[in-house]
Amino acid sequence: MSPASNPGKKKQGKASPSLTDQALNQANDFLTDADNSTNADIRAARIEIAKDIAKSALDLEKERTKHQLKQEATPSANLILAVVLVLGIAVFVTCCFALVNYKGLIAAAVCSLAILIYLVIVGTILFLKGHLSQANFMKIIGWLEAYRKSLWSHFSGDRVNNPKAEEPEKP
Amino acid sequence: MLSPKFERVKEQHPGASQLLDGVGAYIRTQAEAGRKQIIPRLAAASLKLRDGEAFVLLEMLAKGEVLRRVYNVYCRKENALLTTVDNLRDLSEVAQCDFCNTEHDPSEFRVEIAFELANSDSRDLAA
Repeated sequence: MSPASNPGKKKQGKASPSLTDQALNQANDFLTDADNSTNADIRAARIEIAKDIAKSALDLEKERTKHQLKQEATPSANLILAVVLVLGIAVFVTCCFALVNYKGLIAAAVCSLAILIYLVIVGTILFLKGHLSQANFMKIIGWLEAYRKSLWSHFSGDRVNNPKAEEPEKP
Repeated sequence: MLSPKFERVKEQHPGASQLLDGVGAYIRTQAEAGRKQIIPRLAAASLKLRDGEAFVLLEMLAKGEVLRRVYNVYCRKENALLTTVDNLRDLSEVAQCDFCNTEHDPSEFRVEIAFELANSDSRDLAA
């Protein structure tokens, strides 16, 4: 065996190739060496094998790129957490404002509504990320809908019976 | 009588028929000695071929479903075989080294192409 036929032992560059690249480089080194074969069948087969390996590498690269694009398109967990935290703070501030500026049922209604809307938004995010089932998501929507109906019936019923009742008390 | 799969590969490459017989005999010897894997470089040295020629002959047999290509992953530091995977996709998943008990950069691993018998026994090479 000639000393030249040791294609597998190449010096590694400064950038570390991935394991897949290492395997492909090794295969290409072998195929380059096979091109020097005196056997015509081996040289012909070498071309077909090179095509197959190139096709596998291309398919793998397409898959990798597709996966990377998908990862980049979805918002990161940190971003979602930040949004949820900011909304939570906004709900807290809303509740404080309502409790300070309004009393009784109005304040309670504003707080409850803010909390329910917050739960719906968080539920929607979890549902879209796949962490909440459709049934549970619809339950949360159902809470909001039920609360909206009870609020509406309470306030419209109050106005019919006593138009002057429950006026917001201003400090 | 040679197995049908092996015969088919020889029919597809009549000019390499004699070389394929040599490779078949080598694989049989290795299998009888309990060595499951065929390393192209070692096969080339034994059969007095170029590394590339041995690789192509083994690839021919892999295409004919007599062998299958696998990838051995070694930890460079310990020079120990970490795992063997059978496709390029699984190679990119290898990161943890059980010998060093840490995750390695790809440069700290070494990949080696090898071939195994497609069937666990050597019936596809039966003489």
